[in-house]
Parts: sequence; structure tokens; C-alpha cells
Amino acid sequence: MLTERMKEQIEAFAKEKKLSKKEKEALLKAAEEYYKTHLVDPWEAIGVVTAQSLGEPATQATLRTFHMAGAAEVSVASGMDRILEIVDGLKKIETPVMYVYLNPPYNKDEEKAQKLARSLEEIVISYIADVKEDFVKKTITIHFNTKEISRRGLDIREIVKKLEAKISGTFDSKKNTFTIKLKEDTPLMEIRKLSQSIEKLQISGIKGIKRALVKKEGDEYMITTSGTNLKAILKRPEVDHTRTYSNNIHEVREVLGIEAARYLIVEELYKAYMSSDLLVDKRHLALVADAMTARGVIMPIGRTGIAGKKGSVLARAAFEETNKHLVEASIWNEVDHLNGIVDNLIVGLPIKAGTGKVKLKMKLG
Amino acid sequence: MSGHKTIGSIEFGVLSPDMIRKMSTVEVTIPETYDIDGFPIEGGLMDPHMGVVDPGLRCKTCGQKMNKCPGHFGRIELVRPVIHTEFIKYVEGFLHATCPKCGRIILPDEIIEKAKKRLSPKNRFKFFVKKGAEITKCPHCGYERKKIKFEKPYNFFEIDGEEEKRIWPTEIRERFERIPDKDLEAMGFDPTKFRPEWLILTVFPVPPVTIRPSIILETGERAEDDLTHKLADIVTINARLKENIDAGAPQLIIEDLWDLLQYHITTFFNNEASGVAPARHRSGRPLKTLVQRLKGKEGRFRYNLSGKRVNFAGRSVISPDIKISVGEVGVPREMAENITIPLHVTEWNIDEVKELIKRDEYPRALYIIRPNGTRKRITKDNKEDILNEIQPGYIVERQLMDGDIALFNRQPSLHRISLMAHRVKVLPGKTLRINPLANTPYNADFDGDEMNIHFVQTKEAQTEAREIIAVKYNMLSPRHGEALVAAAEDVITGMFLLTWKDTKLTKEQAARLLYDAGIYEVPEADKDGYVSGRKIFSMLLPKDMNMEFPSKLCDTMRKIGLCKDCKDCPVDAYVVIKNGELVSGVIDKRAVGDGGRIVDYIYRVHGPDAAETFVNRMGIIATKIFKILGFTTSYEELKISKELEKKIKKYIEEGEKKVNEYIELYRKGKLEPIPGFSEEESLEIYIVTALEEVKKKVTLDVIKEKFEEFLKNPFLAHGFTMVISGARGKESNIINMAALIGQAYVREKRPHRGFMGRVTAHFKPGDISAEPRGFVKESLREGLSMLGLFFWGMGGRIGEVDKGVSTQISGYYYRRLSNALMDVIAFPDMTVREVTNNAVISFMFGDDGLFPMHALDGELPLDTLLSRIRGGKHANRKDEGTD
Repeated sequence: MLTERMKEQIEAFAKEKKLSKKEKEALLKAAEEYYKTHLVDPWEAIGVVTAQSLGEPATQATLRTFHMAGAAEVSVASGMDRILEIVDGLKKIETPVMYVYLNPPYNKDEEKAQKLARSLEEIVISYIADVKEDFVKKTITIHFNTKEISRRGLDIREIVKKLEAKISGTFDSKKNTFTIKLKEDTPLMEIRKLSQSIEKLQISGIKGIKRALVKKEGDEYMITTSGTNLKAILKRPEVDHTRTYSNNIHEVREVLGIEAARYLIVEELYKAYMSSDLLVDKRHLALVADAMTARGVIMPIGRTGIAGKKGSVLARAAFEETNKHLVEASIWNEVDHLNGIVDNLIVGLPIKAGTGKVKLKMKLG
Repeated sequence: MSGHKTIGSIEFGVLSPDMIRKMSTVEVTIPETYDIDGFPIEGGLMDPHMGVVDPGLRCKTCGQKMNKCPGHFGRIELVRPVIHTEFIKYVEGFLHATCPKCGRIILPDEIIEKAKKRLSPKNRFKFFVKKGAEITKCPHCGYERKKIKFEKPYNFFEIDGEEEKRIWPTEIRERFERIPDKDLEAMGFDPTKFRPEWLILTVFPVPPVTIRPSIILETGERAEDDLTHKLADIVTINARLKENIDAGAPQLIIEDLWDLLQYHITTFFNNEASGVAPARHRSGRPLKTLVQRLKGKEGRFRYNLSGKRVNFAGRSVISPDIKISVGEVGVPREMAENITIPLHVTEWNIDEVKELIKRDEYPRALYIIRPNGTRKRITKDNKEDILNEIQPGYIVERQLMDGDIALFNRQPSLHRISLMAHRVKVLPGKTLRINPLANTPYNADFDGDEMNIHFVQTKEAQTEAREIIAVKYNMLSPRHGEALVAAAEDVITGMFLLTWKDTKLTKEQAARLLYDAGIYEVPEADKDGYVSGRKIFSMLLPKDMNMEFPSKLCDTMRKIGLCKDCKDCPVDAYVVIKNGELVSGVIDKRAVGDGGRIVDYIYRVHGPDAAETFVNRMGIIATKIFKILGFTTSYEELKISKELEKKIKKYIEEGEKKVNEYIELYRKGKLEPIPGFSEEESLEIYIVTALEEVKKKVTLDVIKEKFEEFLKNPFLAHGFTMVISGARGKESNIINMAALIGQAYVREKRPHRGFMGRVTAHFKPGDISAEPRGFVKESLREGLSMLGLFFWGMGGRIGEVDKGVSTQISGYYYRRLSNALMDVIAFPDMTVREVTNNAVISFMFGDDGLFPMHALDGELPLDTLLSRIRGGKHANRKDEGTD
């Protein structure tokens, strides 16, 4: 059976070429025949083919993309580093990035887009001010950097208002300082803790977004951010939530679900390979993503994930942590039923895949 | 093979003391191995009841000789029990989870029941350990227990206020014995197969001598295996402990010896256990005990069990031979003479077999195997007898011959096409020969590479090799479906020269060229009496082939702004093939290289055989064409015009000026920062962009000039031909040689480390303009300045270092991937399943089930299908060749 996408494709093709009904039917039949003959063969060890298709290009190219130091863009990790990040299912990634698409009118007006971008950037006190403690007088003084504040398009009075909502203190508009007087008996540790928490106090923007740049894509403006917070950004009315993209797989799984995460793994792996000009069919990447997400959570590839959760003791022991797996197998009285590949290889039986699965013997003489 | 048993499944478990005694054939009490006469001592470590490793002796248990006797276990009765430290985590767990007095799980019944319902066996145990550890009063018997402390590597203490009291293994064992079966079941264990007290050894199993044979050194001395050494220690200490207990020695001495016994048993299992000093050999080398034997790359699992050695294999240096087919492999005569292939004698081939037996020289039969399995070497003397004896049912082993099938492999075997089946072609010489067009899948070259060859023995395997693994069925990559067995390097150049618009050959030259490729027709000559190169190329194409596509040359033309209209293209670059005739266009990498459109088309439409023929012919013609047209390159080719030289100087000066301006602006604080970047970052970005701009301009101008030169006389600019045809080298190589090296990068940044504020002492500190930060203004032709060479070398060195690091990283990545995915198999119902867990991974591979190797990009070739419907004579894939 042809897939829906293929049927649509044929339909469109027939329309374009103005095929007669008879020809269209013949074409459908031919396409179906073609489809059937180009499928994966039954019992194909497709996992191995996939692993090789991803592993072979990784070894032959250096996979260190020659990143121009010049580009004035949000940097995105690429090459081997990024591939390992995805495949290891790391929660903390080196360059979390979002592509935020905007609803009209923001996507047509650069100024509005710029303004929105500024409002997304997370700004904490330490970016725009110096926080100093005085342990003798028991005060904490925040010296605002007016140049930095105006560069970021902020209003000092707004900031002070926000500060006052959290902590009581006095604002000196001439010196641009905000002073917090503490009780005489406050221990020194408390002062230090307080000043540190003030430094991290969020003034505006969305938590986690370090930088937001407006970019023109086609005929519209969009925002790329370094740092992600998909949940918060999707709540913004200016944002087109149908197209907005985050490269943080765990975040996408939490916000949009496991299927979205699967899709993201495919896309991100594809990008990582293509950035080094290595073509890998998306079907292979989809299999990796399927394997990683089949249990509803993101499982890494290595010993803590898929390879460590094999049903066969021998397969696990042959991979890593040999003694651990043998000890566990014996205490839990595990049985290896020899369904896998290495387990059969180890005991010297034909593997149950490919031609090894087919029972056929030739009578000789 | 009747009575042949195969393994169905393997069960793992913990041996009970009873079982160890039942298995045991002898109790080992003497820490000695052999007596003065060299015979194994009874009751010693090499007791003949446990098997024999000396030729001539017989096993006292099964009566068989060496190599036949599988070996039998013995035992050591331990005077005091000892913990099996590989299970120490579980011992600790049981101590925490159970009451020392009544042996019950130290949690109320409700919780136990609840956990039984909710958690899986393994998680239940974990849960009971975690919860139990917090509880001090047993809810079942009311016993107030003390807190238990585990001290690495194998000591347990009970904390009673300030005091810490050691819990000895005897005590632990007694506690474990009290654990009732139903609670063991609640914890997820099967009490009929496992009891926790079995983790405390009272009798120690001595492994058979066959797994720890002693070896005889050249000096005639016997050297014992590491395990035997360790066993000797155990026996000695065990005996000493017994003596001391019997003699009523002080408690302290007994405890010391007990600990020592524990140490030896721990290191017997694992000599790298954390917190335990590794036991050493006299020479200071740590002993290799059980865990060390199994573990890691050189361990039993990965070295012996997952990687098996084979017979009927060979290895030699490879060298190229364009005249053999890509589907063939040249095997040295010497190899062919020593390798045999079994022939099953039938009434239909008996005459040929007899002929082979009669022969005295190379292709002859070496052995016969009678139906009862006895094997006989065929010699001059017994030849007659054998000829009389032989009849259907016999097997004859003959020498390797042309047409036999062999698996050819180059390591590292990174993908499945690193091993393909080739037809054997026996050739003189000592190297294995391969058609260089089949190099790409193996990633082979001829700078000393060696490859392995396996001669396939059984009929089933031979058929599989011929029908599935053969080169012709693996010309496309399973990774993306593009052609891999295709033209490369000089073959591409050859095709380029042949199909260049002005290439003309005399009729005689054309005839010779085509004859070598196995084509016995000559295309009609043009009016001037010459045959155009394109006509010769057309002879290789199937007659009903129609396609058009832009060549690689088109890209170059577009890049330098020469491509306006395909109709009056000055170089006739756009490829048009009509009815198997190359009407226009030049054949380059895009057409016949890896991923080449023409190779791909022929494979998909006309099948593997046609593709193999095409590729073979292309190789022959390409190499011959050089004999006619000639091909070389020279230093002169790198020279550029005086005007261009001046222009380049100007570009560089402009670039440097721009950089200095930016720096000036930055110093004054007037540099407009790029949004989202700091001023320093912005400055660096501006500088790098400006310098890259210089290189870009130079590249374009040089390529333009070189291209014009090339157009003037395409048969002299050979170095450049290699680049634009895609055969070898890149534009950047030409630019680096002829015009400008440009900016050197270290880790994607301009070099900046070295001295304080500068890279070398030749610059002022803090000078971040072009030259001090690695902008190399010279070209290789004019020669690099001292500093230029140094900076350029920095980049080169980083590349070299990264290469070493990244191969390790990606190698491990690959190993993890293949281990994770190897049990993932496509089922006939189109699902993809992980067979060890019998879990469905995907209901449809890649969402449509198409195999990437068969279906390029997964797109339906609707145009091709349509023309087939409309009566085009396209052959079905696999079934038909061109001739």
C-alpha cells in the first residue's frame, strides 16, 4: 500500500501532466509495484545498517565543522559534539537555541520584531548593575550602569519599581544607586547570600533566554534565541506557536510530547550530519529516534540506555560492564533465550536475521 | 550429524554449597601442583580428577585424554565462611532490608503487599533495601536492631552508640538463613533457585585445570597460570587458619587470617575490585583473575566469543588492475594453489572431477573426503586408486580457480560494503588485485594497504555471496542510495577530457580505444574524418537512455558569472543525453563520480549487470585516453598575470586598512556593536569578515583568470582540469598555491595565544590587526614568509591533533550505536523490532518502509514509470543487462 504522501504526489503529478484516467490508474499500479519492490527486505538486520550509516560517516570525516568565527548569528553546536549530545540524550546541551516565528504584524515589521526580541531577553541585575555589600554598615548597594541600561532599551525607574516589589530600599536617582539597609544583627553569610540572590534577580524577559536576534527569513522577520524556554515562549501571543522550534529535545518532550521529540531527534541529527556535508537518509535517523523514544522517554544510546537494557545477558556482557551484568544475571536467575545477534554468535549458532532466519538447505549430490 | 545438540537457552544462577559439593570431583587440600617426577599430586591444585593438561595422562574422572576431557570442578572446604565480594552490594542490601532476629523484611506487611503489587521484582528489592535501611524496630518481632555500616571493600559493622562491632560472615550467614522463603519471593527472588546465604561461601569451587593450564617455558621450568597461583594462596591460608583454630590461637590471629582468606578469595574473582590492593605476581605484575579474563577489549567476550578466527582466508597488499572487472579480484597464484574449494561429486560432474584428480599441475584436486568423513591427500602414487574408488557422494577438494567466489574485505569494516563478494581471477604476482573503481566502498588506496580475502566453502554460502554480497548488487550505498562503485580521480579526468567539446580522435584511435573496452563497433566519423570524444562515450550508454542535468562545470561557470544561457554556452557544459547519445555537456564527477547521475541511472533502470559493464568500460577507456591526449601539470600552471598580482596586493592592502579602521573605531569606543554581541566580540567578527572578504575576492579573480587560460587551451591546463572536473583537489588548493594563503585558524579562531598579548615576539603586545593574528599574505608559489609558515603550520597541527582525537570519539560512538541497534530487525509485517526484548521499535521503517539503498530519497520516479507505461523499453531492475 502506497503511503498517503505518495498518493498525493501521484495525484499532483497526474494533474500536472494531464494524464487520462486510464494512464493515471496504470501509473498508480506501476507506482505500487515499484513501491513493493523497493521495501526493506524481510529479516533485514536494519538496525546494523542504520548504525553503520551513522557511524561510518562519523569516522571518516573529522566532523569538526569549520565554523567561521565571523558569522553574526546565534551559534549552534554542530558536528560530532552535537551528534553525541543528541544520541546521549543530554539534558544540558551546549547551545540551546529557539527559532521563534511571529504572528502578523510582528513578522513584517522589523522594528516591532526588534522590540519583541529585546523584551524576550532575560535580564538579571548583574547584567546592568554592580552589587556591592558593606559588611560593616550592613548594607547592600546596587550601582546601576546607565549606559548598559539604555543600550538594552530599559527604563531605570521600571527596574527600581520591580526591585522595590521584592526588597525594601532607597533609590538615589542622582547616583543611580539602590541601597538596602539590613538589620544590625544580620550575619555576614546572610548578607552575602542576599546580594547573590539580588544579582540573579530577573528584571525582564523570559527565563533562560540569553540572547535574541532578529533575522530575516524569506519575506518575514523571525527571532533566533540562544537559550530555550519553549513553555514560556509559546504563551506569548505574538508568537506563532505552530512553527516555533526549540532544539532542546528534553524540553520538547515535556512541552509537546514524545512524538515531537522523536521528530526533533531526526531533524537535529540530519542538521548535524548535513553541516559536515554527510548525507544520511532520514529513514536511518528515524530508526535511531524510534529506538530512543520507543519507551515513551528519551533513552540514550550507550550503556545507560538502549545498549544497557538489552534482553540478552550475553549481549549486555559483551558490550560493557561485563562483570556487573553477569553478577546481576545470576542473582536474578536470568535466562538468555538466544534471540539476539551476539548471543547466537557467542554460542556459535547462525544468527536469526537475514538469510540465517530462513530455513533452507541444499541437498548435495 | 545425528544426535547433534544445539544450545536452546542459557540460565544464569548462584551455586549453592550443595551444588558445589555435588559438582566437585575432589577436595583440594595441598597447595602444591606437581611432584618431583612431574606428575600431578593427588589432592593438589592440578589433581588429575579435575582434568588433564599433560599429553599422555588420563583424566581420573572421565578417563579421557587431554583435549577430549572437558575438565571437572574440585572444591576447597573453607574453615570459616567468606563473602563472595562480587555480590557485596546484595549482601549489604539483604542486611539492610531484613530483621536480624526473625529474618523478615523489616517493613510492615501492608507495605510489603503493596510493593508486591506495584513494583517489578528488581525494583521491589531496591525499594525494600532503601526503606528498610531507615527502620530500627522490626514490625514483626519487635526487635530493636542496630544501624548497619558497610565499609569498603567487605567489612560490615553494627553501630551501638559510640561503639562499632564487626559483623563477621558467620553472623551474616546465620541472619540470611533466617530469611523466610515467602519474604524472598516478596523481594523478587525465586527461593528454589537462590538463597541469600549462598552469597557467603562455605565451600569454594576450584575450576578445572583445563581453564588454567600450566605452560612449560623454554628453560624446562613449569609456569603456573595466575588462577592456580591464587588458588594456592587460598589453600595455604585456609590450612593455616584451620591449624590456628585447632591449636586454640588467640582470637586476634584467627581474625587476621580470616581477613586474609577473604582477601585472597576476593582477588581470585576480581583483582581490580575497588578498595582492594591488587594481588601481584613475584615480578610485580598484577594477576589476571576471573573478571580480568572476561572483561574489556582483550577479554573473553570481545576477543574470543564475539570475534572468531576462520580458515580459508588470506591477506596481502593490494594493487590496482583496471583490466579486471570491479566484480573480480585478482588472487596471487601462490594463494590459489594453497586454498581449496570442496566439490561434491555427482554423476554429472564426476568426469570433470576425475580430470582434476589426474592433473599434476595447478588446477588440480588436493584431497578427497570419503562419505564416512576420512580425508586423504591425493599424491602421484595413490592417484590411480583414488580414480577407481571415487563415486558420487565423495567430496573432492580442488585448488582455487577462476570464477570461484571470495569475500574481500578491508579494515576498518565501517559499513557492510567494506566486505563484498568478488569473482576470483588467478593472476601472477604476490598482491591481491582490485579494480580501482571499486575502491570507494572499501576506502582503499594503494599506498601499502592490505586486504583480507575469504574463500567461501559451502554451496549455500557461495550462493549467498553471488546473489546478495556480490559487488554488482552493492554498487549503491545503503546509507543514502547513491552510487559508490563509480569513477574516481583519473577516471573522472579521463572522462572529462574525452567528452570535452573539442576532443577528436582518428577513426583508428577510436577503434583501438573501444576494442579495449570490449566494444566492437566504431561510431561514424564526422565530416572532417574524426570521431568526436562524445560519440565514443555514447557507445558506453544504453541505447534508450534520455536524461539531462547540469554538470559540475555548470556550477563553476555560474560562480564566475560566465553562465548566461545554456544555448550559447562557451564550453557546452550542460549534459543532454538523447536516445543514448551524448548530445552536449561534459562528463565530470556529477555524472560518473560517486553519487554520479549516469551510473545511478544505469543501475536503477538497466540493472546491476549493465552498471558493472558500464563502470568497467569507463575505467579502461579513461586510462587509455591519457595515452592519446597526454596529461601532466607543471609549476608554470600556477603562475598568475602581473596585473592580477597587483590586484591581489591591492585587495590585501584594502583588507588590512579596513581592519585597522575597525580597531581605531573600537579604541575610540565608536564601533557599532552587532546586536547581541559585546564590543570585543563585534570587533573580532568585523575583522574576520573583512579578511575573509579579501580571500573571497582573490579566489574569484584567480579562478576567473585560470578558467580563461583553460578555455584558451584546455589540453594544457591539466592541474586546473583536475579541480573543475572534480577528480582531485579543490579550488582552495589552487588559490593557496597560486595566489594567497589567507587567514590561519586555530580552533575556529584567529591564533591569539603564545606570549602575553601576542602570538610571537615579532609583534607588539595587544596588536590585533591582520598580520599579528595569523593572516598569511603570501602564496605557496612565491614562498611563505617565516611567520606565514609558522601560522599556517599552527592550523595544520591542530588539524592533525583533532584527527587523532576525533577518530577515537567517533569510533566509540559507532560501537555504542551498533551495540544498541544490532538486534533491531525488520520483520515481514513491516514492523521493526528489537528481538532480545521482543519489542516493537517502529511500526513502519522510516514511516514508509522503503529501503534507502533501493529508493533514492524515497521519491517515486514518476517520470520513469510514466515513460515505461507509455511504451518506453525500460528494462526491469535486476533482470536485464545492456548486452
